[in-house]
Amino acid sequence: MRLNKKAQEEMVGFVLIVVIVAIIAVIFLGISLRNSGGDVGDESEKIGSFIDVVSQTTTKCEIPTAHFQDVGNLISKCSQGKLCDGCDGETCGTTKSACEVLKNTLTEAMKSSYVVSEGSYVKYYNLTLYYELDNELLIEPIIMGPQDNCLGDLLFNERPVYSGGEKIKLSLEVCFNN
Amino acid sequence: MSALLNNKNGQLKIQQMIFMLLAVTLFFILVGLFFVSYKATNLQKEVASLKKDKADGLVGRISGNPEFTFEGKSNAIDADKLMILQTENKYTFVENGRRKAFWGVEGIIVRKIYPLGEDIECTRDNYPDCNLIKLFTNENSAPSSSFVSWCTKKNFQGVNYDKCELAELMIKESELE
Repeated sequence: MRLNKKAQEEMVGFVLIVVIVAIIAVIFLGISLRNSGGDVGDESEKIGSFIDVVSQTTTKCEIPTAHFQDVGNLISKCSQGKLCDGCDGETCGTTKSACEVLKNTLTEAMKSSYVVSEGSYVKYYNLTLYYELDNELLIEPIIMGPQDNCLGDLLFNERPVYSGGEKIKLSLEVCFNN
Repeated sequence: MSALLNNKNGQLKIQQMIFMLLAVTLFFILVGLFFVSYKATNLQKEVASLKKDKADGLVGRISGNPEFTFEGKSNAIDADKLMILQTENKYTFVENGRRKAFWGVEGIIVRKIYPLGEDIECTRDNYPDCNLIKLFTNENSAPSSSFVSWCTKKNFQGVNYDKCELAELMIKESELE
């Protein structure tokens, strides 16, 4: 009976030590997880500011002639199905729609900002313009690089653009290699 | 005899307690050492990360500075203003007998990245047909960067408009205040 009690006491002591170790481990894990989360948020903020900067980039599309549209306005004109009256000081004709110029501008801007190639820091990116209401795409997504598993940091951000009563979202997802 | 046995039993109990206390203390010392060594290895990383955060914040503040900003637009810099500042050779000034750096930076570089073109450094002679403005530095790049709009006032067929292009603002932080 006495031996049984002693064994019970030993077990309680052992459990106590295990609990203390577990608590220390959880605190330790919590601190390291909190520290590692910082970079992801920061980079996403950078992507957000990139979207802001792209939105205010002036395009070659003139609506009406001599009134150059920035990307933000061009998104709205594209959703209204407008055509560019002129393109960078020249007549566009009926072949260049606002959507076509928008897609070309975004494609080129992305190419020069995030270089995707063998061994590059960026693995892939995906830029999408869609209506918030029904998720319908405004233009074809601009994708560069293989969109398989992102083993590095997958960062994302989006910004709204208003066209009439509709809300269009410009979203960008970038996978960075570690 | 029974007193002697009791005494021995008591000594054993004391020894057991001492061993237990030693073991627990050693255990906590080991855990503490492990934690300290882990923190120490991460310290260098944290210092670098903090420096990067500070520099990134500085890049953001610079693009919003009245001396750089274009008509109050966020993340937009006025290239004309930068060209005026380019005449300044020194990036330091003396205040209350102490040397200080303008905006806390040693060099500012703004490079147009879209439309893409070969690097042509801006001077008074070739501006605005150029795509690289350097302030207080001769280097072509710097460690901290952020995307900004490179904006200028343009006129086409009698209509004034703002032309903003995609650019990268890079800074090198100063060791001075």
